Amino acid sequence: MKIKQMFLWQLKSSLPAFIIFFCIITALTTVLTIVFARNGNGTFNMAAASIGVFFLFVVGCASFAENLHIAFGNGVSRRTHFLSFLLFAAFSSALTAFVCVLIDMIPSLSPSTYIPLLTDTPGMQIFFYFTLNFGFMAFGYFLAGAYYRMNKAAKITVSIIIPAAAITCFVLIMNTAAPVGPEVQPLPLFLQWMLASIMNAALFWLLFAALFLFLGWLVTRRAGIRQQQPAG
Amino acid sequence: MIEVRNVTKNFRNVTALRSLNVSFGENRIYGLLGRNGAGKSTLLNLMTNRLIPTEGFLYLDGFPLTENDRVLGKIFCMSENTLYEPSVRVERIFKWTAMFYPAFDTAYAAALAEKFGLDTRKKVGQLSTGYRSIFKLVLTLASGAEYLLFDEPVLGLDANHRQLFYEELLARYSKRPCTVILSTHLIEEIASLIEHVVIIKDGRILLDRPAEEIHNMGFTVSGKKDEVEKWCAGKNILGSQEIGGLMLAHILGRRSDIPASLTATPLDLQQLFIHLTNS
Repeated sequence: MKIKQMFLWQLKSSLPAFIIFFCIITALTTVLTIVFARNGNGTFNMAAASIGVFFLFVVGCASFAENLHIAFGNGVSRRTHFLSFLLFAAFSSALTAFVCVLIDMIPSLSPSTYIPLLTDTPGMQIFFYFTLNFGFMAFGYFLAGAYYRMNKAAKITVSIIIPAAAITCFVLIMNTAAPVGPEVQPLPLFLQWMLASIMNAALFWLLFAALFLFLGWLVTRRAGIRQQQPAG
Repeated sequence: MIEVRNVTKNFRNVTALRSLNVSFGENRIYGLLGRNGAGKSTLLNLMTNRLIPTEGFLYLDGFPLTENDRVLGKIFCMSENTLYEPSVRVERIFKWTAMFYPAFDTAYAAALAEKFGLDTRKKVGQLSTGYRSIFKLVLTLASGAEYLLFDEPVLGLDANHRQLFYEELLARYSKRPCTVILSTHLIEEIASLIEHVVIIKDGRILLDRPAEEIHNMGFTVSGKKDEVEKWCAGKNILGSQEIGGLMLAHILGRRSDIPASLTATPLDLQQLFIHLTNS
């Protein structure tokens, strides 16, 4: 298996993007901390770890086609490609969680303007953001994989129906004056459970990651080369 | 040896390959020929695990080829599609390929790049169609793999570069014997290189024979038009060409009783291909 090679390749190809992202976030956090400290009014928290989640979602989206083509070009199976993504996702999620939690400590150098986003221990925060990062990376990978497998008509249909359905559901939920019926009671209960502690939330995101990794494998296992002619 | 056993490949409503059986032995140069849409690229993509067969199996040296990293590492395929990100420099891809193919010869790749005039500091996206083909050719030749597959290798290459490629391919083959599969429409150019011919038509193998046998399947006679026409009467003529008062006729069958006024040469592979694949 060429897991090591695929992992190293992902690491090498993504390294510049990670360095740039960490540098920008560090610079922004430092500058804004100084600005808030000088002004002396208002409170500030960069929430770098939360921004990192979106960054990793994009990395997850970009991981599918690029890595798959590299795998195809270098005699690497889909299974190895997927396992190497799994390793890389775990590694980059942990690294981003660690670095971003550290960056989020920069505003605490000005105690008068600092307000923490989470009050848990740094170790617990790192674990929580690791699961959140991992979940969103897996979600991004699955989305990219699903789009890769779809034909043009399916892509257009999904691109219209899913956002439309999400907006409709959101509007309906927001405009429902009546109290929540017993049939949808489990949902708020689940949300309450999830918000009860950071550990519960982390467990939820781990399950979320597991679900989308499974779906990601389903779209990977029979993925073929793109721009393929029907024959010839 | 690569063995393709009862392989069928469907793309939604299109069947690209139908219960196809073919083998590619060790240390030979194969010509994989077929008209547009015959299934050549599909076959090469199946042999490199880039596509999964709808039915059937593929083996390399007796081991299943699909999803088998160890076996796939013995094959390097130059495809029409560029599988690399346009923003990556050529020299960087050489280094990455060396990571996946331990036998990749970086010095040889650099020497080939210089011979072809390929600037390795350029990004893949900055290369012209011809140089993109050259970049992929260099990668394949230097890969060190035991099976080198070329899908339209000379796409966009000028005559000088095409000639250089054929020379380098033969040099690589003689220095380090390997199995080469050349899939191209430029039959005349590769006719002298290939040792075995595989012709695909409508997803099926139409012809699978050594080049020597094919040359003996027929012959070409040339001479004055009247004399050629007279001599060819009643014979199985594949095709003919006329230039002024001269005529060339491609004939299927054994060579016998050819008058001294006519010249006979071995059968032209391209003419046979045209004859066999014309619907």
